[in-house]
Amino acid sequence: MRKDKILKYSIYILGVFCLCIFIFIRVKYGLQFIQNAPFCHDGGDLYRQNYITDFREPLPPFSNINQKNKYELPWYTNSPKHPSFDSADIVCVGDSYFFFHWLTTFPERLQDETGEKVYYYNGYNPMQPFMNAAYKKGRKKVLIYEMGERGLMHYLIQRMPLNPEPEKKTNEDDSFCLLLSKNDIERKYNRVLQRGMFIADLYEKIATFKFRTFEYINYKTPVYCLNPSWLFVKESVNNSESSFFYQHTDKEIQTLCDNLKRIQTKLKEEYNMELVFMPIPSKISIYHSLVFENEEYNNFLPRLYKGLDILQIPYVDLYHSFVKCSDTLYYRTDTHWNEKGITIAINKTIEKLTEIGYNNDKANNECQ
Amino acid sequence: MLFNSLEFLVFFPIVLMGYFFIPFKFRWIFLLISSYYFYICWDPIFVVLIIGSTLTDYFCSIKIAASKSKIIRKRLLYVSLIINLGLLFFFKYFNFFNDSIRDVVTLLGGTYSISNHDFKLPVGISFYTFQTLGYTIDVYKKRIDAEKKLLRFALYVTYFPQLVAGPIERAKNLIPQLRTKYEFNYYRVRNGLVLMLWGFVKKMVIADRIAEYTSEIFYNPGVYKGVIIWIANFFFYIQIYCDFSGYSDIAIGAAGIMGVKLMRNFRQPFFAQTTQEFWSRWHISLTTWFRDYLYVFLGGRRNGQFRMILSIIIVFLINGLWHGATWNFIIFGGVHGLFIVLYVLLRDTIKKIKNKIGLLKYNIVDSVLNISVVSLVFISTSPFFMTKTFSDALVIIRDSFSISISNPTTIINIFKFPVDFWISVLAILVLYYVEYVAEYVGLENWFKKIPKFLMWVLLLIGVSSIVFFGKWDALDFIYFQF
Repeated sequence: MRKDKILKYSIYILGVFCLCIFIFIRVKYGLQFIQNAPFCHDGGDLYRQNYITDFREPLPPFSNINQKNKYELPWYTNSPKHPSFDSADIVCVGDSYFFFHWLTTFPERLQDETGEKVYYYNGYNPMQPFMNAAYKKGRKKVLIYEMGERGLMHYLIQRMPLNPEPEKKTNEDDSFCLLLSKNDIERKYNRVLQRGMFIADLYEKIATFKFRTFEYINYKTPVYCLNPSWLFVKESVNNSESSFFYQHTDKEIQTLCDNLKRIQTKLKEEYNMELVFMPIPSKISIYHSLVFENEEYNNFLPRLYKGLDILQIPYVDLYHSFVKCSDTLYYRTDTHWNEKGITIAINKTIEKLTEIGYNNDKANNECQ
Repeated sequence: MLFNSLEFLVFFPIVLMGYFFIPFKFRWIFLLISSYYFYICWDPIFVVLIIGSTLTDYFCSIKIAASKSKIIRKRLLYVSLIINLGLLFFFKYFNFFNDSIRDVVTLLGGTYSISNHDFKLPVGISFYTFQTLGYTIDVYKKRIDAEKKLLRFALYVTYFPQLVAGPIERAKNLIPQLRTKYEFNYYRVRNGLVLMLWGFVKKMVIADRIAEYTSEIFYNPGVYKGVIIWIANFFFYIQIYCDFSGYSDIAIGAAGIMGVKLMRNFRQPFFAQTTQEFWSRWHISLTTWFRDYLYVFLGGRRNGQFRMILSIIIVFLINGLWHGATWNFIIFGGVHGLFIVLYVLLRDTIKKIKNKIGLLKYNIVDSVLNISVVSLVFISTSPFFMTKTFSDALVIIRDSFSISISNPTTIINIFKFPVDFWISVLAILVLYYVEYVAEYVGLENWFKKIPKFLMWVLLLIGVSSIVFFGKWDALDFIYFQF
């Protein structure tokens, strides 16, 4: 009888606990409350794919924390410093290298360094912000188009739509209907398990034990080294077209360049925009010797640069600058660049802007 | 919602709490809502099909029970059969038959313009269709009374522990249990939890770990040869058993905690001594369904040997087709049917031969030999089950006979983590031991005999093995695709 009661009440307690989790992960900021942190984009944070202590690298605090609401980080589609597309001097289009939460973002720095109004759009298609804003041809401007090296064969090998449909705003997070929502539920439960207030430490200890004893590591980060500890993301080291090992054909390089030329022509003719392309080298392309003793870089970016030169597409050559630099330019356990990396990128971008005569053009625009 | 997901680990305690807290007369309503929620978590749109199937069989069976006219009863049964099998055919088999007809017409030089549909296969459609069909046939045959409460009948159709992958329950077993009041019982809850734990171990520690190896081999035909393939065939035999029986254990355990005893779905198939016996131990709820509703209908043993053989072959071809709409599954079913027929025909001869060479004197040797042959039948037909196309299966079978000596490290390195090979081997040995105990001692007896602390140690090992060695990527159960 006593056993009955103990078990029964244990089930009740467990049930109430689970009910709380069930509700919390479905209501606004509930998950953030459980993990006592903002729900941010951290797809590139390779430590958080594993939670293995050996790979825990201190990251700086979020650069763009919201003072009013600590649970909300902006996943912004425009720069907080300059939210107007129409009046911007420079438009930045790109993904996580441009809005990496742990650093003052690239567009904001560019604005600070150049004194220009820099607008940022988070996405892969450089034509999208024009469609969203129904932009009409105006004075000459520059568009800096960022893409990670491992994304090139994914996004640019095909022709990108030059007139995409304008994006619609969604208000999914505002609805209490999330209680019944099934969006990403398993992922959210995983977050509770990995980062929940009372369980995160235990989770990390178990993950670390499994790594140290059985060498278990998340399949998303199959290549790593210890002392110093580095993690490399799967797509850059597997047998896909995004990989370090992939040997690109001349035809593929040509197709990439042709597709960029198509975008450049459209931007110039229709919107009076000068394209500056900025492919960001994968971490493995620079630091492969740490994990592969006998492998050489497939020379993808230098080959791409040659193709871009021939078609006269301006680009920011980060690869050669990064290779020459003896400092560490990426976070060891994140896919993104660090303070030094982004500083080089800013300097090289300003150099490129000068090289293509951006300042002269601007002066001319102002005189007119 | 998969059983091996965090979502289920949160969902189930909530259901249990509500189930034991709510007064008895409202419990079944609570279970019905929970069951619908469980299904909606996959794809809300397909809940319409379950509702359709429920309404069809509810009204047909009510009318069948009320009608005294044999013709009307038969017509109502046909209505139920046509609607249920029609939906199943449309969603599961239409594209397969459409492609097959197109191939034949094209081969004959004709043109064929009917295109395939691109609807997803509703999860569990084969299971709940058979369950509702069985109910209507039982009412028609007057084996059971029709359930008068629509919502209670709806609960029978959607009862969440067994909704998407069985066991395919019989109405006479499940419906009365849904009406019966159960008090909380420590032993029942404990046994249910232990069974669920064992199910999770089978699925997450064994099946999903071995799946890494088998997927690599079967999804890359032409790459691997010889021993590597035979190991994959054997691993697949273990994988599918652990995957499906693991699911069944979780389902039976979950229902058991709530006082419902679902039918047993597996009974140590590794120890079957004939293919026929194997199928009486494997996916029992489906095999007995085919026996009761199809084999008997086709004539079974009543009309001579030829009719019996024909019935067996038809039943096993349909059994194969039930598993999936591809020629691979039909061949898989056909081969197993053929072995059963061969055994039926040659049973006496085999016995004479064994007697002549003195094998029957050595019971153990004879048993081991029989078990090995039965296992070999399943193992050698694994490629049909696991590969995507018929030609892939043929390539795997061809390559399995090529003589190539594999370095043991090559085999081990097919796993993402080499340690997984050794964990798999150890886990398979443990699995065989548990199956052996279950077959020859009985697990309940065994549990009673061992000291209490040892039982707690075993439970701790079970939980730890899931925490440390479980694959938490929430891989689908193989039988969900059916």
